[in-house]
Amino acid sequence: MLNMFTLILQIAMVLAACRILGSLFLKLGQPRVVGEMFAGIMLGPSLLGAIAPHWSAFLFPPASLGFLNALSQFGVVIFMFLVGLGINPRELKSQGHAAILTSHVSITAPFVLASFLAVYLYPRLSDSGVPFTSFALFMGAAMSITAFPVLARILTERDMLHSRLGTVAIACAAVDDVTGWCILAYIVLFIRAANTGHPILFTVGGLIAFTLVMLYGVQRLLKRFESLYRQTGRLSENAIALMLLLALSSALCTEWIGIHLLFGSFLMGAIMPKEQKFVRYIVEKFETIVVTMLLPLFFAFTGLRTNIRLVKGPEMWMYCVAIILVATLGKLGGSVLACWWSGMPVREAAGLGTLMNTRGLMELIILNIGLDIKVISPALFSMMVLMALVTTFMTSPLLQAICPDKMFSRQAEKRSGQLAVTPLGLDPAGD
Amino acid sequence: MRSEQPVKPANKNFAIAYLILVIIPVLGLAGVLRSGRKLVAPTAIAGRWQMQVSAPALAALPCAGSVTTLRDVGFTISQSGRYFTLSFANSVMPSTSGFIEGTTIQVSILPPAEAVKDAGCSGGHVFSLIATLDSKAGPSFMTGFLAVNDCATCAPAEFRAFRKN
Repeated sequence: MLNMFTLILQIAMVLAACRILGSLFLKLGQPRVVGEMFAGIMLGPSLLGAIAPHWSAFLFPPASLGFLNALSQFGVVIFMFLVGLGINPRELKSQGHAAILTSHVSITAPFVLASFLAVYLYPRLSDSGVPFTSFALFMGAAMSITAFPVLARILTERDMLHSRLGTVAIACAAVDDVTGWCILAYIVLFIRAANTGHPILFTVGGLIAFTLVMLYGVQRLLKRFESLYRQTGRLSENAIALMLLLALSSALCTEWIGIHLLFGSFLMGAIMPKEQKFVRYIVEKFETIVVTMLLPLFFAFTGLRTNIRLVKGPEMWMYCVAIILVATLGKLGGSVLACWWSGMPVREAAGLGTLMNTRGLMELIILNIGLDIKVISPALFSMMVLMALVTTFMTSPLLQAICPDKMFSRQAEKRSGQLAVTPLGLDPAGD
Repeated sequence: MRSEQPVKPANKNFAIAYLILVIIPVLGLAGVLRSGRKLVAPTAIAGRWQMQVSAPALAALPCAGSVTTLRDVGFTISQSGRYFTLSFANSVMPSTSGFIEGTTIQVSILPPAEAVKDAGCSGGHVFSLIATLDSKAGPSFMTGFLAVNDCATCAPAEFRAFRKN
């Protein structure tokens, strides 16, 4: 039964912890989202549960977590809609071979290295209920993802969004995320079919039909939103509500056909019109409540599922270090190599590799799906969360070392008249 | 580097680069996925289990006051490969960690702090729960015994458990 007192108390605690830690990390030169991720982990069994188990049990009784999860999932559904909205296929086309090669290598390199690591980890951290193929593909997808919104925020804060490095990075991150989600859809499809007896032909057929309807039917209707916006410079509350309704309906469709809620909302965002002012307007409409309230709940829920104490003993920590090294080597190393091969100067290539290695929130979303469908174990989940934290945390200082602040300012000044593509959370103050 | 250096003409290298950096690794990935199918992971034991153990056998063990609460109690296993955490449904016994080797699972259980008041429970006893998954009945049944470490005179209490989900 819903205990409103507990739920409101939980929300208040989570918001307070996230704002405090977020502000602290901002002062350390990190994006706010990194502090919020830390705050979530601190509220979970890794810290609060370890040092004050009675307080932890009082604040987050297991029976209450379903409501917290429901709220956080709603937030992630809207967030994924906004991520899809921020992705513009035209950007990749305009970047040429460098972006195509870099984006593909930044997927295949971590994917292949992760599959090799999976050979080592499968007998140690998985169980017989998980097929090796699903395990290896999931590890690959999780390691090849890039946090598109965090990357965009870092680029904006550093005034690099319009530099060549920035535009290639944004394009590559978009391709990585779309590819990563497609692979994840494949894994979810097969795991769910095996575990629940959901007919696989229904899911595959449903997914194809759904995608075709979205691309060739719904997408045309969505252009009316843009037309309305052009006429009046705003959208009515009814239009915004309809847009939200469409995103939720799309999410429900993909859940019903056996993929996942988030694929539907992501696809709805991806097929929305991409006129920059329109995109910025929509993002601003949804962003405040999603970023300040709903995503912190997701961080808290993830933190409550993350138990770093499960990573105990030298053996487990060695696995954890191996995961972080492989993820970094594959993503950062692969991107640098591809960029350099494409003719980009080494320093810029290194900067791009550093940016691509940012995983942040997108990684947490994928890991939560993996834990839900039981393709990864709780200890591996905790190790992968640590990997997401480390790779996201290292981005800003590493980028500062490789590409100092003023490096791209001249070009940014030249292009300051242009409007940025506006993925979620681009307030330069990080708020 | 105040301004960006021009990108070198690299179109002629694109096909070679794509072959070396994308296509060959993808073929390698296919090979890994194929060969990895032969790998064997530890038997899946995660889930909720129901334990059945005879009351007289439990009562004969030291720390009987707390141990008898294990009679017909449920427990939950959260598994991470060879390692797992076992939590009893009653909150008297603390959560504990164990490991699985083949079809044998082994857990050490410390009696709760309150149990030291029980008769014969002051010696810092540690219990061992050792069980074997029943290969004939499938991985949803286990049989084993609950024994007291370093106590030659204590007869182990046999138990069986079945997975509820």
